[in-house]
This record gives sequence, structure tokens and C-alpha cells, in this order.
Amino acid sequence: MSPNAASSGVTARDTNTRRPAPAPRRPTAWEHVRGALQDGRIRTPLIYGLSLLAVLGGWQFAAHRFRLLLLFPPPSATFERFVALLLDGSIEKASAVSLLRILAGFLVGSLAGILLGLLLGSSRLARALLEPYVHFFRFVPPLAWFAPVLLWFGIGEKARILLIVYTTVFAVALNAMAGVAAVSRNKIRMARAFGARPFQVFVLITLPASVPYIFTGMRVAMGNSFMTVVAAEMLAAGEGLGYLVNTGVIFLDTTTVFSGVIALGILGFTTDRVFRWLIRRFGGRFTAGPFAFDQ
Amino acid sequence: MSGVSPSVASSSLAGVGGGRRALADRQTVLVLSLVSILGALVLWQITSTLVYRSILFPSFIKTAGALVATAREGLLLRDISATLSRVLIGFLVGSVGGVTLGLLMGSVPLVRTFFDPYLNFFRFVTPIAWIAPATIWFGVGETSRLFLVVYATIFIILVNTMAGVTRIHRDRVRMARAFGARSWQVFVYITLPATLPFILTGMRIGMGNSFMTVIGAEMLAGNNGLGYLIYSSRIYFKSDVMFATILILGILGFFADRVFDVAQRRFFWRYRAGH
Repeated sequence: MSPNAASSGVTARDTNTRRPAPAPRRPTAWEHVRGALQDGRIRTPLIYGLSLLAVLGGWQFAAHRFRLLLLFPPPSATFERFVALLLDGSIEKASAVSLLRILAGFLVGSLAGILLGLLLGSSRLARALLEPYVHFFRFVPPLAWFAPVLLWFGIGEKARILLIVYTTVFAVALNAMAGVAAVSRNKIRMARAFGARPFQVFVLITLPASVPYIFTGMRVAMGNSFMTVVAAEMLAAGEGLGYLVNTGVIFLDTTTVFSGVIALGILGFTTDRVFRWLIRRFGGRFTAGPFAFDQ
Repeated sequence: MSGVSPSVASSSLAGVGGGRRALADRQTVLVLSLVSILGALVLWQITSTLVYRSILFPSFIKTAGALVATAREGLLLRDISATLSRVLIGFLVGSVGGVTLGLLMGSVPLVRTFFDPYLNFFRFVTPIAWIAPATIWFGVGETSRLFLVVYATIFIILVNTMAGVTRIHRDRVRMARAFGARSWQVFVYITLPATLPFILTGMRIGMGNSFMTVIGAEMLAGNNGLGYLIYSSRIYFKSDVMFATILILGILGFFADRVFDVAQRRFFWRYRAGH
């Protein structure tokens, strides 16, 4: 129903006259369009569509108009290349290699980070002793360790996975620590009042309340792991998405570079959605305070 | 790409509480921390000189010596200033861009919806990946590295600013309106101050990201800077220089973060009520 029709119905009832209510006017075509435009379910995809059309069209036009086909290939050429790389399986293979590297390092790093964070959050002694290191190392960019790790372990899978472990562990530890610190006092007091022992308080109160924070830390760490793995693959690797992008640079094949970038964007987006879902799913029970990033 | 809720960012948890006890606690923590740091340094020295002697694992004293030697040559200062100026310029450009776009996208729903797909695509492309197109477009030069730092900064600040704008309490805006504030007054007196903590959180994370990115950019395409210093030391097996640079990176990052910590505390204190 268009908004016009709705308001005329209201006036008829309110005035309460003997005259029969005027027959509802059939909304004109324009009113139909306007009503649809005010509906978010139609409006948003419409703007998305227009936006994509405008930007991709502008890109295509600019690439042809200014003859930048090599430096700035048009979307048609990029898309063609992307599909070709998909069909011959090279994007899938590179993505799988990069993702497996991330996953291996990420799991180890998350586990270590959770344990470290819970320890730091629960014990004042541990915090006093270990916090300086956490605060020092979390500011040393993972890539700074690339050179030493290469010297220690050689150019191998171990080196790259170790770098991802390093990338993950501090972000997760800091968030887990904050999660423990943010547990509402009253919840702990209540559990104590009902006779819970410290161990029970930890397992039944502290741990579940920290879960949303831990997931937030893991979400951050996942984003950073992508950065580390891509750089590591560009510097020293024979496969993976970073390597794929790098070969594009060496052969000045910009479409391959763009295809790699697109694949990275899609992967990053998907993994982030998974974490967003996890936070929503498990954050409902123990709200973790304001997240600035659940957009 | 990354996010920490504001409460997580203020990281020092020691010394909560009041009065004399808190002071005594803080002193204990300080002493324990110092003991822990000294202990680790001694352990490092003993391990590298007695247990695991290798050119690949320099002792603390050797690392400190390399630090002094590189500083004497003037290399260290040159590389520090190169890296810091890159971070600073890129970060400033990215912050101005991110805040402006974030305020615009937060305030105008049409603009937000229009640019939403790109924001959600590009912020998940890791900044380092752009070194490839950047070197094709701008060559292996300063522009490429700055481009990467701007890229690493802009999206996180944009997303935070936008989140801040869209999260303002309706009642505050309504109150200002009821007292006769015009749109720009609502923007200047309500929207802007309420968004400030979010902007600062974004800038803080953006600063961390720029450090991470600039090191990668200097390793991949650089001829100076701390990333280049580390990576070039690898060729000559100068592991002590590597460790010295890592020490410096940790210290630089820590102080850059402290600046934001102080700023955040100040503004959070004032605008806490709304969140």
C-alpha cells in the first residue's frame, strides 16, 4: 500500500461524518514506484546495482578512453582472466594453499593465545611477570620476524606457519585477557554466594563470558594472518595467493594481479563473516560490550 | 580488517581499585615487571653464550652492541626517520580521508549504501597485496609505499567513524533538536564529539596496521627504512642487527600506541555516558 492511500483511510475514520468514506483512490504508477523506493528491501539492492553499474562502467570506459589497458585493465578483461584462472584451477589451488597455511598457524596461535590470555587475566602474578612481553611483542610487526625466522628454519613451510602463529597469539591473548577482566563482578559474587569454588567460577562464569572477546581477538588475528601470509608468499614461496599476485607483477600481467586481489577480498570477506556469525551466535548470552566493528 | 572493542584497547589492567592499597599494588606490579624483564635479559644472555651458541642467535650484549654501532654509523637514525615519516604521512592522509568519508557515509544513508559494496570488498583485501598493483602503477618508489600505508589506515578509520556516527543516541539528537539546534549544530555539537572515541579507536588500530604494512612494503620494495634494514641484514647474516631493529620496532610501536591510549582515556572519560 502506498503511503498516500494509508493516510486517506485514517482521515476518513477520524472525521467521523455521515458521508460515506471516499472510495480508496487507485494509486498511480508513480506512487507505486515511490512506495517501492521507500521500501529498504527494494531500495538497497537497487542502489547497490546502480553503484556497481556506475563504478564498473566508469572503470571500463576510463580504461578504453585513456588506453590504460596494460596498467589498468578494464573489468571485462579482469573478469575474463579471473574466470580463466578459476577454470584452470590455479586460483582454487593457490587459495587452498594460503588458507591451509593460515589455518595451521591460526589454530596453534589461537590455542596458545587463549591459554596465555586466560592465565594473564586470572592471575595477578602472571600479569605482572608477563605483561611487559605481551606489550613489547605485540608491537613488533610479524613481518619483522621474517628475516630471523628464515635464518633459523630456512625457506620452508615451518617458517611461514610460525609467522602466522606469532601474528595470531598476541591479538587473541590480549582480547582473552580483557574478556576475563570484564566479567561482571556481580556474576562472580552470585556464583560464590551459591557456593561455587574458584575452579567452578572459572569454568562456569569466567570462561563463557570471555568467549565473545576471544572470538573478537580471533577475528582480528585472522585479518592480520592474511597480511602475513601474503607477504611471506611474495617474499619466499612457490605457491599460494601471494605468489600468484607476485608472478603477475613479474610478467607485468595486471589482470592476474587483479584476479589475485579479488580472490583475497572474497576469502577475507568470507572468513570475517564466519567470525561475525560466531560472535553474534555466542555473544548473545554473555554480551561483550560495544563492538565497534560488527558492521 | 581488524578491530578491538574500545574497552579492550585500554590494556593496562593493573592498579584497579583505590587509595593506598592500589598504590602499593602498583608498586609491586612495577617491581615484578622489572624483575621479570631483567630476568629474561639475563636468561637470554646466558642461553646465547653458554647453551645455544650460534651466529643465528646473538646474545643481548651483542645485540645492544649492534644497536650502538648501527646508531654510530648513522644508518639507524636514517632508517628510523624513513620508516616513521612514511608511517606518519600515510597515516595522516589515511586518517583525514577515513574520517571525512566515515562522517559522510555515516550521516548520509544514500552515500553509505552507494559505497557499501566497495568498502566491504576493499577492507578485506590485505594491504600488502596492493604492493603488486602499486609497483606496476607507481614503480618501486616512495609513492608505492605511501599508498600502502594510506590503504592500511583508511578503511579501519572509515569503518569506525561510520559506526560511531550511526550509533549516536537518538535521544541526544532529539534533545538538541528540541532546544532548537540546526542540522549543522547537531553535527558539530553532538555527532562529532560522540564519534571522537570511535575515531580514536580506529586511528589506534590503523597506526598498528601501518607499522605492520610499512615493514612489509620496505622488505618487498624498499631501499631504506627499518624493514629494509632487517631484510638486508639477512643477506650478510647480521643477526645482531636484526634483533636490534626488532627491539627498536617494539619500542616505537609501544610509544605510538601510548599516545593514543592517553588520548582515548581523556575522551572516553568525557563521552562515556552515551555508550
